[in-house]
Amino acid sequence: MDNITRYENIEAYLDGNLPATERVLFEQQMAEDAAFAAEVALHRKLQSALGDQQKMAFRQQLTDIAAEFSGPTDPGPGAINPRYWWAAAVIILIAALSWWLWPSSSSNQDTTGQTPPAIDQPTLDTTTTSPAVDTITAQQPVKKQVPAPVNKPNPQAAFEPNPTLEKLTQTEPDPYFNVRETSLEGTATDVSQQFSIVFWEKC
Amino acid sequence: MTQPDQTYIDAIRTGNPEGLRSIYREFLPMVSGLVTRSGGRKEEAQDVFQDALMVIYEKCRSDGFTLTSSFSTYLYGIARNIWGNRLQKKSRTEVTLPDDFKLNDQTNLLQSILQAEEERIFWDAFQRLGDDCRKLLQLFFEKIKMEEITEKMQYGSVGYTKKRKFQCKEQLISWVQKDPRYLENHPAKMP
Repeated sequence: MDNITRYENIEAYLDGNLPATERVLFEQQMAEDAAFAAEVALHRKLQSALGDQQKMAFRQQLTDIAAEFSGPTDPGPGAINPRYWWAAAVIILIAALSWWLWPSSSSNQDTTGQTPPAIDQPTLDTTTTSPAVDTITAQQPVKKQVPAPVNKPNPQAAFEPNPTLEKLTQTEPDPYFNVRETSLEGTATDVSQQFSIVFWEKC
Repeated sequence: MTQPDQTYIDAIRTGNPEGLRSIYREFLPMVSGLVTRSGGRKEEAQDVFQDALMVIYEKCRSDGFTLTSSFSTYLYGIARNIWGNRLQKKSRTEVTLPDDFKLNDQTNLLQSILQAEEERIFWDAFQRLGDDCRKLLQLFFEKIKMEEITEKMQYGSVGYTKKRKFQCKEQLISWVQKDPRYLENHPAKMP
């Protein structure tokens, strides 16, 4: 017996449409085969539950209303608490506002539009004592005064052998340090020239 | 029975949408608290609440139903029994319910609860079917003749309608039988 025929037999039995002889055989099969009896019972329950149109309509109505009252579903184990999202949004908003407002407030303070002189900036005008206070003076173009080099040292002279030192190192080597390198920074036109000698300790 | 309680019963009996909404509004939080306090999820609370209403619906339809307690106590008692029954199946251990929430008609109520739970499995499986299968099976379960179903579904022949009905019903039964909730009550395998 194929599945379609089996289904039709079960439905015919439940509807009371099986002939008497077939019904006896059907019930005999149910008595002998528990699985078959369970299948027939399931067909009967499905028919009873899903065939009750009033009940089906009521359950559908409850399902529809339940959808109106279903809040947010429970977050999964790895879900982030929505409060953290709100906190992050507030922080981003504050940062954005600060960034947006900061340049305008600083420009209000500096009415000349000039940036204040750097702390280590060389003195532009010896007659101007305080450029930050006297903004009018700062606005005026100031000619950079470069002091005339007096006794300008020759940078290359640092690499020239010093007879005195040469004599000392040859005759009496330093017990603690060796000269590793020498370097020269600066240019001939610049007033600031720096020489350095780096030592390292002897092992 | 107080007037509001009678209103709730009437809403269930007649399917009044506004009355049913007021029941959800008034009593769902109570049942939701019951379920979530013992580790259940909100979705489970919704199912328990709906099944409890289905039990009351069945009771309302039967002759001679009278509410001997307040609607709130009755609904809560049924919901607690349903949830206790599910917890019991989950943990495979005895769940003891306080006596004050046990109802007088325990035997009938348990039968109604088991029926509501089983019908929920059928309902869930039925909802998984496609629109075509749902409509076809609905007509079939309404005992509409195959010729009429063929016409309503605009199928080509009665033979095709029978084949299609078999396919849909076979799928429905397969999903029911594979449902873990169904397997808990029906461990024996079917052909």
